[in-house]
Amino acid sequence: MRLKNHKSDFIDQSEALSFIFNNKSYKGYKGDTLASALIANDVLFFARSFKYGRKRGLMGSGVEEPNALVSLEIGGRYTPNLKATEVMLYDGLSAVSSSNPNSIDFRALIKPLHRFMPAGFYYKTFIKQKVWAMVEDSLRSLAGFSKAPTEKDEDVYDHVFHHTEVLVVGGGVAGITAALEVLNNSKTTRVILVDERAHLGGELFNEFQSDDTAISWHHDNLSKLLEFKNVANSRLKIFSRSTAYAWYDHNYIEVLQTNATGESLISGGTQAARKVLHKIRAKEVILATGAHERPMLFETNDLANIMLSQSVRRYLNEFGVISGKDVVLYGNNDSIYSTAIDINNNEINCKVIDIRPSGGESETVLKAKKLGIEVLQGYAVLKAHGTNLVKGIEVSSVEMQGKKWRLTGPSKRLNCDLLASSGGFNPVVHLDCHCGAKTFFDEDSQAFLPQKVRKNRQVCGSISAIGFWKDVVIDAKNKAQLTLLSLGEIKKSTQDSMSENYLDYYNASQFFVPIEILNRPKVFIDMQNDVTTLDVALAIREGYRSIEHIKRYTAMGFGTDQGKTGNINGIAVAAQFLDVPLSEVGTTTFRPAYTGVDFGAMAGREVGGFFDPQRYTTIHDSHLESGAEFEVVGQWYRPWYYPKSGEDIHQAVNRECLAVRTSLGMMDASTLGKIDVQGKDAREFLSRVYTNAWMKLAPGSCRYGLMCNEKGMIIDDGVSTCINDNHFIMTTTTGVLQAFTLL
Amino acid sequence: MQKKYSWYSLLKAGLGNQEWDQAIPLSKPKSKYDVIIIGGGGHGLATAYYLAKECGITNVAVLEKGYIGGGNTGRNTTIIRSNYLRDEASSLYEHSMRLWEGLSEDLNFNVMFSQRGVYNLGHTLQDMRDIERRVNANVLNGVDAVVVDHKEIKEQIPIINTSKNARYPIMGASFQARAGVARHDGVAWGFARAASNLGVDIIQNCEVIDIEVEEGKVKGVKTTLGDIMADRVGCVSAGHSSVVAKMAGLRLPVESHPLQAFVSEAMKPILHTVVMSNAVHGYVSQSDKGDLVIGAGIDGYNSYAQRGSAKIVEHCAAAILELFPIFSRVRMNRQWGGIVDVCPDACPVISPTKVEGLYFNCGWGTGGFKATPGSGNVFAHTIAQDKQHELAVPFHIDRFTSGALIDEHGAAGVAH
Amino acid sequence: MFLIDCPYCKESRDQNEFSPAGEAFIARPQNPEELSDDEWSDYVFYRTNHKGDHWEQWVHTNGCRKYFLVKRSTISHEILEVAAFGEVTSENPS
Repeated sequence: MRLKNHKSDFIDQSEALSFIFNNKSYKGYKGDTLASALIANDVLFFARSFKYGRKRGLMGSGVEEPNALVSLEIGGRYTPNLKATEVMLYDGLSAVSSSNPNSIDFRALIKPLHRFMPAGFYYKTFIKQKVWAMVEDSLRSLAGFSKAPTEKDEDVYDHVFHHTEVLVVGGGVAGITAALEVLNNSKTTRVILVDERAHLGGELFNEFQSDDTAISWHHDNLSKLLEFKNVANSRLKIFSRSTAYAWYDHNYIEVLQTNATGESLISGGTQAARKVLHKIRAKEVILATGAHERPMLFETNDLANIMLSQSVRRYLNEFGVISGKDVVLYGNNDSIYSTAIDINNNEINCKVIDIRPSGGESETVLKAKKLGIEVLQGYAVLKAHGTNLVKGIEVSSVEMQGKKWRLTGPSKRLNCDLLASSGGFNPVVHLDCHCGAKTFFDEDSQAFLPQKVRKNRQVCGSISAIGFWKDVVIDAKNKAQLTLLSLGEIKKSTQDSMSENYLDYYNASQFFVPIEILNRPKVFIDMQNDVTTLDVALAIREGYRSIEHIKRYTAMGFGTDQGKTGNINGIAVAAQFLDVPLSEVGTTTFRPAYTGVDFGAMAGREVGGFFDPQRYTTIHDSHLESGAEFEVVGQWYRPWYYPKSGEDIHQAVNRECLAVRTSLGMMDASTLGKIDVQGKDAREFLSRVYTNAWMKLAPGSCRYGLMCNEKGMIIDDGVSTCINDNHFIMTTTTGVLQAFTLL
Repeated sequence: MQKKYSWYSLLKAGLGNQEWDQAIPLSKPKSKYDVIIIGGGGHGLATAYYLAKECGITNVAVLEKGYIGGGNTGRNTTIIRSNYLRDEASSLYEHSMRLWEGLSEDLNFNVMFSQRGVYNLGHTLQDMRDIERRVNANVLNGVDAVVVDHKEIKEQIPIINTSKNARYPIMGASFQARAGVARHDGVAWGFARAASNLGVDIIQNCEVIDIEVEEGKVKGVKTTLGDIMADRVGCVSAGHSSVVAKMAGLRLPVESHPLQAFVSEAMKPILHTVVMSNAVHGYVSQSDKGDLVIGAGIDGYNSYAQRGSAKIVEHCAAAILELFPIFSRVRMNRQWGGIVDVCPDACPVISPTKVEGLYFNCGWGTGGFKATPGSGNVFAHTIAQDKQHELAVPFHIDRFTSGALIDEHGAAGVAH
Repeated sequence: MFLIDCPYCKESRDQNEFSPAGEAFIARPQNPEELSDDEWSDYVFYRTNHKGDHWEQWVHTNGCRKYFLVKRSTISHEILEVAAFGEVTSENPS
């Protein structure tokens, strides 16, 4: 539902937009994402899951979303597998779930058989080649998300090249601060700031409700940025709705920008690109990519309306929508209290279940309690109740014994219609690791952090496990100073200290839950591939102990979300079952693309007629007039034969042969490579590059030559003519010419 | 003995009456083996399996520096075919193809070998002449192959762009019906499970750091887990072959290059076969999970970094769109690189060396996956008999001295 | 995607402008006829294929079209040194 009287900087309630989802019409507002608009319309089911066909709702609010996959539009603008959370609403939008949650699904029908389909099922079955050949195609049709497109794309894509001194990735508090710090302390340094969201500010908007200084900070700093941007020959470029998805060698980073609506723009007869691929070469890179929240694990944690706490908070604060009236926040860090406070401020019933015991509470916790929010400390959620939709939860008291959680009390049931959880935050280290950098597990913050030192790169903000935004400001300034130092713009860097408890959101969050919970069925780690804790346990028991084997055996993290919410939890689960520290398990390899990149955008304009240059001879028009069919040789179009009406190739060629025999023929050999060899050693040169003899060829004569490389392989042949002793004209074959002249 | 995989065992496990055995048991290295295999990829594991199964040598260790199947085995685009031009190569690949056809049953592990056919497209008259020549050679060698024209391609693959106005119009193709794809990880695991079932030790996280050679004979290896002795050592370490050879004071006629691949997000089935094109530099199939699996070209520089250049994958995406314009709004999900060891004639080395008891199986370049069972099979016999398997004879390393190269650049798949 | 300093153009340019041209410092034997098969084979086919810092040749294909020398790590891809032919490098065999 959409809250009345909610003021949002993002939603323009004066502009209503209608759209269609799964054949039903709805209304949203300008500024909505498809996901927020559907929450406003009380749509709770978005798709069915990959393996078991379970009905799923939204879990996240951005690129991390695993469930809500949709296809958009039809025909030449049909787009598969988009996350509803990243589709900006526009008037007339039409979307379909990748797997319709409202239809009867075969995978769900065979539910009693699911216990016989553990991870690795297909390796153990259909072992006879003939049987596999018979069943494979029907199994294929059960897999896959959206249908594939069937028509040619009607949009175009551009590539744009940039060179810059500094590239800042991420436009939250850290990125804004770092960009400004660089600009303020140098007169010449160019800065590019890229951010995946529509508005610069990142997670700071979540603080607006409770912290007026956040509002003024945002306002002031954005104005300063715009001052730098809105001048002639600006040193600053800002790309919004732009994701840095790959980092290649020597600080070459590719950024995919989606245009304002995410759709094609055709106006005034010119067609703007649907997406632009920015190819950026930067001397220095500052990563302010933030962190992804990970969910808590419990039985049937995949029911609809079980979401990430920060996402619930973001939907509430940015879009004024929420999908429940009786909310439970569950987690192991203070961020759930911040979400609870915001929900409470909107007069919606909520309570907090904190797995941590009471004692040593922070200001945020005390504030929540003071507001009268019901708080259960030292409790874990064992299970979510409900068919398809969460209706309640089972909780039990827990205790830390040594380094492990143990269930202590009998379980009890609580009712709720929305459960938002936070199991801590995973720094977005993906981009940093594309080019060989490693992560390390940091015990203090309980997070996989980016490699400490890397040439020409700084990291700042929550990618370094810094939680509180005012600390992020200090960190980002410090790191920008180091960037300026590396560029030689300053001689000495100033480094300010952060508050003592800067690890606030992180320090308490750890990965483990009582192992009794992990041993329950249907504790989903990877929603998109239906990977559960028991699948991981089974993989380990079967000897697939490396995290890469676990990933490959269970398909954990193989989805379109690339395991953004699930992988780190999966690593923690593996660590618990293997009984080793997380650092020993390690992560799987981070590879491009951070988020999906359209093939069309990768290709840019080099499609169709521009795929490769076309080269014509000077008498091409005359060939055309004579009705030539052409053959492609290298980049050249060479006349193949000249059919007269009704003639096939053989008849045309026979006629041509006869004409040559009885009168005259002409061959257009201008596509051949022509090399003019001059000088006193011309003969010797030919003798060395060809295998046959050239020392005695008389002026005015020509000879066929064969060219080998040192390996003894023939690489070319051609006819060369002797003009005089010091002058030869050599020809090479058309296809080889390019290789010769380009090498 | 491990329990067999069957519907019955699955039923028992589902009912909780049975626990699965370890498919890849944890092994600690012994101090001495009859044979050590360096490299736990598909070829190395297959070698160990056939040593145990066909040569009666079960006191074998496979040493893998990381996790098994983590190199090129787990990084390739899984295309399997045997339509090579030269008699020597096509015999070897056809030997492999026949093993593929019974492999799942042999290993009691479904490697998901899927004979969905492979089209090698021709875009120019010269392509078509080469294709006809290769298909004729295949037929003479008993390899199934036919030439198809663009109309038949369109009938079989309706989504392909056969327009005459394409920049590189499709004129025809060679088609091998028995060719196809398999599940790459499953191949490594299936061989590992079957080999360890026969007594082979598979030792992961064990990096070979030196090879002990005395008076021209191999004595064993030094590893991160200690010294291990063996009179016979088979090296199957793909992109790192030169590094391992150096440990024994040898040089190899191979160079290591990055080869890249990428996958799209999973979609419902749309492409039921494998399409390869040398002219436009790309090949594509759709996996059972629904993602398009796409292979790009090779980078021309030497590298051990398992990543390549953006321009190679971007050009490949353009090439795929040239063949399938409807994939423009499909998104790349993940890209990666492997390190391939390329021989000057695009054919492998399966050979003894100047060091007695040290054998090399390398140089598979861009196309080793399809040879996995065949390569392991002939290499096992070569090691066991200290004499090359008859199919391996042409692939002796001495061919680079004698000049008897086997030029397979045309059929090797990726444009060089 | 490397950024390569062309020693002739004196500019840093994108890898797209260049082509790799194999291992450096491989001198063609002065008297091929006098070489044994092993020696000739070594010259033609055998390369060090070094893992680590490695001298190689590149050509500025879409620029000055000249060949030059690059010392590059085959592990990290970092370029450590660039030289024109004839220039003294840290490892030029006389």
